[in-house]
Amino acid sequence: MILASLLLVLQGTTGTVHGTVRAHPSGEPVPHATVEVAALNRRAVADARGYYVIAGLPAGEHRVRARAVGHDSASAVASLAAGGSVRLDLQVAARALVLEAVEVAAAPPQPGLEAAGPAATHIDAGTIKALPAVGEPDAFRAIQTLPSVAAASDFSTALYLRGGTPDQTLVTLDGTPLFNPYHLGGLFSAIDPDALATVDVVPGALPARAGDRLSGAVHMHTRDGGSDRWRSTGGISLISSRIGLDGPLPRGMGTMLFSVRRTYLDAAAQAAKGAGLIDTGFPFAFTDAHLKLSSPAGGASQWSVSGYLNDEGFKTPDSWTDDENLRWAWGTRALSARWRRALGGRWLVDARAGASDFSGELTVGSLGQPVERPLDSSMRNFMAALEATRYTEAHRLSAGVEVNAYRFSHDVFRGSEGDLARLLPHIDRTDESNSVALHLTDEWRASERLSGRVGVRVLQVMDGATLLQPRAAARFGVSPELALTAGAGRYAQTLRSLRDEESLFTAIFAFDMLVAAPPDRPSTSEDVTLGVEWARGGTALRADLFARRLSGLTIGVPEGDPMDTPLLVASDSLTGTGTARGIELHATHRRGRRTFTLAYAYAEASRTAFGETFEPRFHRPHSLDMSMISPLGRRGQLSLRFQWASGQAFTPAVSQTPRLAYDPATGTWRPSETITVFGEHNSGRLPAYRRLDVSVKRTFYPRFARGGAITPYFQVVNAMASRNVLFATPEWGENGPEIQYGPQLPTIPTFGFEWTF
Amino acid sequence: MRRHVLALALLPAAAAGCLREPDPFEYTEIALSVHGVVRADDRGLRLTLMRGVQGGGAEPVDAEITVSSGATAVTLAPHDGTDPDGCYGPEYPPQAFPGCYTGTLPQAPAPGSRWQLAADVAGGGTITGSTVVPAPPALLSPAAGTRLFFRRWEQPAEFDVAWQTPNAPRVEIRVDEGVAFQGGARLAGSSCFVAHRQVEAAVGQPSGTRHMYVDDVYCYNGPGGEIQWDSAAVPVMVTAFDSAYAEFALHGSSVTKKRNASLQGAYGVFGSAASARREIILIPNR
Repeated sequence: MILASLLLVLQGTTGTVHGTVRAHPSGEPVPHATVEVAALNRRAVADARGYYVIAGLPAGEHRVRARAVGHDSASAVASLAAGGSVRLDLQVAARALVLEAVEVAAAPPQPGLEAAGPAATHIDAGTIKALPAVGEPDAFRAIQTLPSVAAASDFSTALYLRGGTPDQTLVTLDGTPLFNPYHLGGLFSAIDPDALATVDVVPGALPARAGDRLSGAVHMHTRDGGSDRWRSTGGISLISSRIGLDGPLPRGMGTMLFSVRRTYLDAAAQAAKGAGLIDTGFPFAFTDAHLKLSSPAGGASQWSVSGYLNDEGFKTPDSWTDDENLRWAWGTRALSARWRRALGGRWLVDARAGASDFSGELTVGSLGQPVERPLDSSMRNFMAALEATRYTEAHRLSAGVEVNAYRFSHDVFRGSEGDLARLLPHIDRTDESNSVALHLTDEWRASERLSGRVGVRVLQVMDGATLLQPRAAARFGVSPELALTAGAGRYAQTLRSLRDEESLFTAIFAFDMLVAAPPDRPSTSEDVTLGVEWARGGTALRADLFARRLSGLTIGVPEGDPMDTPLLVASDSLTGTGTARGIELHATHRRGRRTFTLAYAYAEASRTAFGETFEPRFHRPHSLDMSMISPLGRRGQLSLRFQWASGQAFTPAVSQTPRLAYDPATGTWRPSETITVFGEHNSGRLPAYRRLDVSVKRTFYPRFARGGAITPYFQVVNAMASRNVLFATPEWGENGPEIQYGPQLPTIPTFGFEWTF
Repeated sequence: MRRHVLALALLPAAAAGCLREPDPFEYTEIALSVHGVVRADDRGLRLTLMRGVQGGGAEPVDAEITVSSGATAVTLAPHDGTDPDGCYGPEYPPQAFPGCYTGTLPQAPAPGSRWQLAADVAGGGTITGSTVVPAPPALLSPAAGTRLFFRRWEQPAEFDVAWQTPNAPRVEIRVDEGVAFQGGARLAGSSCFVAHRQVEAAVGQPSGTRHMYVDDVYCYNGPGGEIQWDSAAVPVMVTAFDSAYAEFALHGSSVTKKRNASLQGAYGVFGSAASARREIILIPNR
């Protein structure tokens, strides 16, 4: 098939139109725009960089039209010679008003337009900013509205895709894997939404080019910045302030995007201390920043370099106390470079290189000198990838190579003793994982209705296993409004998480601690997805059936009580397996300026280890997420998000018994505690979950802003004051045993404002 | 610790009125607990059997308990004292800590031998368990008589402990109680405790190395209080445990019903252990 398609290309009887869809007037690439030659019923969807190719067009003049959410459509005529190619960049006018852009952000996708197989879900910055959030607009919380994605608790933005754990989802920023992009233990994701162009979520049936993770991928692409003038975006909330600047570099060298966010909890506490309101300061702060430099728009080759910094921690000044200070700092850094060159609309060469790092350390000092370092952890990735794509009339052939080197070094919870040592076990290990992956994919249009994708990814772990990972997908357009999709694949992962997902702590803290899987035994998974996509007018509906099998998962010994379950699995040599299957419905309906979204999922998930099979704690069988974004007057906006979900699993207590501790030096026992005997692991279910979040905004156009806008907002999380439950634990009450419940988020009102100039 | 976490979690939600009220429930089972470890170097058998009572605490259970291996069988007898042959250390009054059964084997259990527990509980019920005695670890380092200097709470004495076992699922490494020396003479009746008492557990690692350190040593002479000393001989002890104990040790303040693969009819452990010791000399730089 591949040979046949190459021969067809060599005949050179048809031509190609290709180019980049850009926003007017900023010139920024518009991700995932639809480009069509309506007269020939030929369409393509631009990639995350706005690049599109429509190959196999006959010679002549063709009107090419581009459409994109948040933009007016635009068209131009391409004159195509036989066997030739024409570069045609299309400029779609961005709608200036902040709230209007949001209003169309959830415009339904048309079936059959995406590449073969189940479509990725694209979330743009407008949607992220429109949804009510905990204080700040949050990309990860927006991702959690999708039916494929679950949250372990209100406190965590970690992403659980289709029964998988956060380590099994590849999260990239401009192509480079990110470790732990969170603030405040995971309450917020540490990505500035103003810096984002698109977030692409692939929860299964991954193509062969997708990186090596078991469950899915979340690719975040930052904006390039405008090439016409300088702009500013930003916001001030109760938690932090953020400001972004983007614009052209001098002498036409390209564009720049810069954004930075910082909390002022430390400054506010210091001011309160100075005013005598509190006795001690609260020396906690977080900062995140993005910087991106991109080549000039319109060049034959595109390059970009981006850097990301996330810094957070408690840092007591030396003078905080006379004899003791500490530095508890953690953060993520990433650097990525990308070069792409389109060769005559027939070839696209894409090269990426990146490095990312997460480090965390706790140093306890005295009189300014370090004394102890009970926490010292780092995770690093170095990667490089090269991919070449060949476009022919009916085929898109791509081949690539990806090299990943991971370095992990953990010396954590040194010196913890007793109960603490059990809950926070001392882990001291350094390991690495090096791998090379080769991938080959053929996407082809078999007919007007049928398109397919077959590929293979070969993962070679250095000094270890070679894994052949076949992947395939197909899409059949039953009608212009209805498409059926299918996809399946095998996946592998060379790293493992030491988080014990049954622990209460991991339900609250999103941070992951990764180690290398044994080179000869990487974790693996297989999945299959069947879907249907339907759209008519302003309504789109998508349903997906999926099943997944996972093996080589690090699973801790099941304890009855999540508060008594260690944060980390002390040895990743104890592994188990997992399964997940379910159905997901995702519907969007646009009526006038209102957008309604409904996401429902019913799923079963299990883990098997130590001879037991149980439902993982983070899982909820039923979940319903409904949102509405509606105009409120001429310049206002009302956003509602309602979530309902069945309760998470918990283990009921059935008895109590004494436990003794053994002293091998004397061979004697000492009384330790009364322990609770729990029944079948996770055989009970916590009360159901429900939450309503509300956000109200209004945009003003003050004269001094010169066309810019200021949007104050007020939002309430858990507006119904629902008594949601995080965990259940047996306690001895006044009248006997009782189940006490740990709470999720209470009602939290927040306010702030955002601007664009 | 657990209560602190709970209190921390409940406070903000209670303040906001978002805390769900507790639900009463009933325990549906009465749990018996057994704790016994057969030691490769010890003829003595110590085993506790008790029953949990509502609200905490325990009460003794009458039972006929037999520990056997091949043709060797020993019936354990109730033991209510706190002498060195008892189940509990001398600091625990026998009235408060019931359910001790002891016995003496004709010879110390050999590594690799399988031992069975059988108990007929008065009023009905049987408890059975089994364990295979592990081989004592080969202690590769430190060398016997290694001399280590330390500066109290400033510069710890640091050393590596390396061991090898055939396949022990759990190995515990600790520096134990030792004796004091002054001018090269052993101080009779002295006891030296290391601080802080570091216990390392290697799970699923039959062979390995652990870095150990001792911040300080306190030596006493019975009730006479702290004594003058210039060096202390303390044993480094490496203990290999069988799979039953390894499983038991992984659990904290809770167990689940299924989690007793090698013990039926009760919670707790019927396991085995084998230890190796080596003395090192700790010398303070005063």
